[in-house]
Amino acid sequence: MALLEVRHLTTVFRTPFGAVRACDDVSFDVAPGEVLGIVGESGSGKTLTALSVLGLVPPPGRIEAGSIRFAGEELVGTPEARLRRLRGRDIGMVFQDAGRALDPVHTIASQLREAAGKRADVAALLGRVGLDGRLASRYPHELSGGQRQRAMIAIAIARTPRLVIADEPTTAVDSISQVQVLHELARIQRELGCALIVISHNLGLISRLADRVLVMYLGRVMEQNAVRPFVAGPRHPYARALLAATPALDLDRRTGRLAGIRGLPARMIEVPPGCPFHPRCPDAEARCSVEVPAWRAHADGSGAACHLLDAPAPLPSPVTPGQAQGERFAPAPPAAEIADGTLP
Amino acid sequence: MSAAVAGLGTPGAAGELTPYLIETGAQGALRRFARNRLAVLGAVIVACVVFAALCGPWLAPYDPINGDILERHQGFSRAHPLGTDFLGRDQLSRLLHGARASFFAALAVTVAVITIATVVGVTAGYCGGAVDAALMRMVDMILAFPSLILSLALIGFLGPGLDKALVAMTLASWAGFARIIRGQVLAVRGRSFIEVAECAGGTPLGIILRHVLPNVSSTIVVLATLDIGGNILALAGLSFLGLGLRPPAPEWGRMLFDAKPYLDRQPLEMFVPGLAIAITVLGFNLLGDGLRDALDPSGEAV
Amino acid sequence: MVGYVARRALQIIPVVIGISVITWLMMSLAPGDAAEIYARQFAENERPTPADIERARKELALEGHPIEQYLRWAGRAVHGDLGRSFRSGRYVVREIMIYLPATLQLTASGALVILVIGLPMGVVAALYHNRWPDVLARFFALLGVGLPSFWLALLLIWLFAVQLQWLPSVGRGDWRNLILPALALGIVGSGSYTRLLRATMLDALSQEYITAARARGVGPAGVVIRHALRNALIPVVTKFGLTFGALLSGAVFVETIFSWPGVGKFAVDSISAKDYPSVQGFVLFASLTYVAANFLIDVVYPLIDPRIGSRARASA
Repeated sequence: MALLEVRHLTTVFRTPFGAVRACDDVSFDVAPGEVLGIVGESGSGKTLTALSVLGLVPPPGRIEAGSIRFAGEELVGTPEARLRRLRGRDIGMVFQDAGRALDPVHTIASQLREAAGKRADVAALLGRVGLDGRLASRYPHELSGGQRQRAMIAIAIARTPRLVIADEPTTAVDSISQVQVLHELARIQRELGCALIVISHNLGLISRLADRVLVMYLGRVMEQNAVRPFVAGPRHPYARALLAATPALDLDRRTGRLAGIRGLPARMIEVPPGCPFHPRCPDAEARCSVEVPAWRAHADGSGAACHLLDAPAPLPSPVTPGQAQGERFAPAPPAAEIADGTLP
Repeated sequence: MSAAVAGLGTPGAAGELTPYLIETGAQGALRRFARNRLAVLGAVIVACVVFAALCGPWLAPYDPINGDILERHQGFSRAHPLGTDFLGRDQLSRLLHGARASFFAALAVTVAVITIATVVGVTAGYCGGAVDAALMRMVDMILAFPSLILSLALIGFLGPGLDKALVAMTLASWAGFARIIRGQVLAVRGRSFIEVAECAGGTPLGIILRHVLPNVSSTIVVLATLDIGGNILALAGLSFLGLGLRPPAPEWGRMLFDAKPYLDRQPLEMFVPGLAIAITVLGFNLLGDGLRDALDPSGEAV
Repeated sequence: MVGYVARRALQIIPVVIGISVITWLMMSLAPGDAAEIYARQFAENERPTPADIERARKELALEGHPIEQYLRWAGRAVHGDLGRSFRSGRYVVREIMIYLPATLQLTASGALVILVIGLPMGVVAALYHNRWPDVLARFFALLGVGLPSFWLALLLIWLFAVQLQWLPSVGRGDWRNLILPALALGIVGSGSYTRLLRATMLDALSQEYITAARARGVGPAGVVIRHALRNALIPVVTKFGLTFGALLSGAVFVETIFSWPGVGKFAVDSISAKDYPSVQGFVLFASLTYVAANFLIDVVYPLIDPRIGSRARASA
C-alpha cells in the first residue's frame, strides 16, 4: 500500500480578483521508501501541493476537493490538532530557503528541540547532517547558506519521519553547497529509509535523485513516469520541452543545441482554457484550446494528459511505485553539472 | 485561539499575486483613495474643518468674546445649540471662530516646517559630504529633545502669545521631517535618471526643481497632512496651558481650560471643544494615512 | 558586547554637548536682560543696584565672550549647578530632584498602561485579522491616536471622580491617585502601539519561518508567542525610546491637570513665572532622560534582536 495517496487534490485561492486553482485535480502516490520528484516552472503549484499535504495552505487558499491519505488516514478535513501531531513526527518538510524558514531570533538548538523534543541530543541530530554540534548555539544568520540548509534538514528529520518533503532544497544555496545538500538528502533518505518528495524546477537534480517524476504545469499534472523511461522518452510536449531545455543530463548525456520553451509561462490568474500548455505548445491542435485533456494512464502506472497521445487505457488506474531503485545514487558529479541543469 | 492560528499566513501563491494587481499613476492613487472608506471620512472631516475655518465668523450666531453673563453654563438649547461657557458666551460661536485660529495657525506652522525641512533635507541629500554631515548633526541635536518639550521651553524664554508659540513649534519640529526628506532625496538620487540629467549638463538647482522635488512631493504631501493634525493638537495643548492664544480670543484648547473648573456643573463645556479637537486631529490623520496608502501602495516611504 | 555598549556611549557625547549648547542658547532668546530680571527677584523693592546686576550676571555666567560664557555655564552644569530658581531662590537641580520621582513614577505607570492595554490589543487584532476583535481594536487605536491627553484627562476626571466618585481627581497620595493620571497618559500612547504591533504581528505571521515552525509540529501558542510575537516585538522596542519622549511631554499636561507634583507641573509654573534657570533645568533634565532612555534601549536591543548583537560582536 502506498504511504501517501493524493487523489484529485484541488486547492483554490478565492481572491477578489478571481479564483486561482493552485492545484487542479492532482493525483499521485508515494510508496514507503520511494523518492518522487515533482518538477515544473515557478508558479506551477508544486509548493502548494506540498503545503496541502501538511494542511498548511495559507488563507484565502483552501482544499476544495480531493483526498490526501497518509498511511491510510484521510488528512483532508482532519482537525488541526491531529495534523499537528503528524507534522514533524511523521512528515518532515525541508523549505526552499532556510534563511527565511528558520526563525532569526532563536538558536538552531532551540528550533531543533521544537521538532525533536526538549531532551533531544541536539549535537547528535546535527551530526546526522554532517554539522558540527557546536553550531547548535548559533543563530541562523551566523551560519553559511549551506549550513543553514543542513540545519533545516536536521530539523525535518529530527523525529525520523516516514515522509520527507523537500521543497527546492538547493535553489537558495551556492553551487558547491548544492551538491553537498543533495548528497546529504540522498544519504539520509537511504539511511532512514523514509519516502521523499523532492520539489524542484531543476530536472537535472530530479533525475539524479528520484525514482519517479511528476511534471506539473499551472496547477495540473502533465505527466508522470519512472525516471529512466521519462528521461529516455517523455510523452507530453511540455515534458519534452523541459527536457530539451535542460543542458546536460548525467543519465543521458546528449550533445546538441539547447532549446528554449517559446512564450512566457502563463500566470495562475489567467490559466488558458483547454490544455493549459496549448499557447506555448509546438504541436497544439484546435481541440487543445477547447477541451481539457484527460489523463492517459499506462499499465505501468505512468501517464500523461495530452490530446496528442493515443490513450491505451482511461483513468482510474492504480499508480505503482517506480522501479530502478538502487542505482539512483551515482558517484558525486562535478558541481558545475548540477548547477547547469537549471531551467531558465 | 487555535481557530485563529489555523488560518495563519504562509508565503507563496497569494503573496506573489499582489504585485501584479497594484495600479500605478495618479488615477490608480485616486481609485485606491476612494476605495479606502476611512480616508474618505478623513477627507470629509478635513473639508468641514477648512470650511468652518474659512466661513466660521460669518456662520457664528453670536459674538465669541462678549457673552451675556446671566446666560452662563447653559446646556443644549435652541438659542445656544452647544450651550454657553462660564461667561455666558455661545460655545458654537467660539468653536467656529476657534476653528479659524486653530486651522490657520497650524497651517502656518506646517508651511514653515515643511519649507525649512525641504530646503535642509534636499540640500543635505543632494550635496552630500560635509554639508550633509553638518546639517544632519544639527538635526540630531534637535531630535535629542522631545519636540513638545523643546517648544514649551522655547516659549518659556520667548514668552507667551500666538506668534511666539508658532515660532517655537516650528523650531522644535522641522528636524524630523528634514531627515525623512533627506532620506527620500538620497533614494531618488541613486536612481539613474538623475545621473542622466547630470550628464546632460543640468544645473544642480534645475535638477533639484525638475527631478528631485517632484519625486519627493508625495512624501511631502503626506507629511504635511499628518503635521497639520499634530500642530492643531499641539497648539490646543499650549493654549490649554495658557501659553498659546491669549484670552479672551476663542481657541479650542483655551475653551477646554475654561471648562475645567465647571466639570461638575456643566460637562458640556468640556465635551464640545474636546470633541472638536479629537475629531479634527482624527480627520487629518485619516486623510494623511489614506494619502500615504494611495500614493505609495508598497508602503516603503514615509 | 562591551565594545558595542562603549561605542554607543561614545556616540552620546556629541548629542549631550549639542543639548547643552541649545539649552544654553535659549537664554539669549529671552527678551531683556536676564541678569536684571534675576537681580530684581532678590533685590529689595525690586530695585536692584548696578552692583546687584553685576553679581547676577556673574552668577548666571553672562559675562565675557559668548564661548567663554557657554564654557563657564557648562562647567558649572557638569558639577550640578544650573543656577538658582528666580522664584524660590533655591538651586534648580535640587528643585528638580524633588519633583523628578513623581514624574518618573507617572511615566512608568503610563508605560505600564501601554504594555497592558496597547500591546495585547495589537496581538489580538492581528490574530483575528479582519474579524470583530480586529475591527474593535483598530477603532480604539484610531481614537487613541487623535485623542488629546488633556481632554482624555478631563473625561476621566468627569467620569471617575465627578460622576462615579470612585477615584480622587487631584494630588499625589496613595495608588488611587495614580490611576487616572496613568490612564490619561497611557491610553493616548496605546493607540499607536496597537497599530504598530498589529502591523508587525501580521507581517511576522506571514513569514516563512511561521509556516516552517508549524510544519515541524509547533502548536498555536508556540507559534504565536515564541515565533510571531517574539519577532513582532523588535520594532516595538525601538519605538519605546520615542514613546518615552511622548510620555514626558504628555506628563506636562497630565501633571498640570491632576496637580501632580512632578517636573512637568514645575516646568509650566516656571514658564508662567519667567523663571529662566528653572526652564533651562527642565529642558536639560527632560532631554537627558530621553537620551538616556534611548541609550538603554540600544543596549538592550541586541538581547532582543540577535542579528544586531552578533554584528556588534563581530565589529567590536
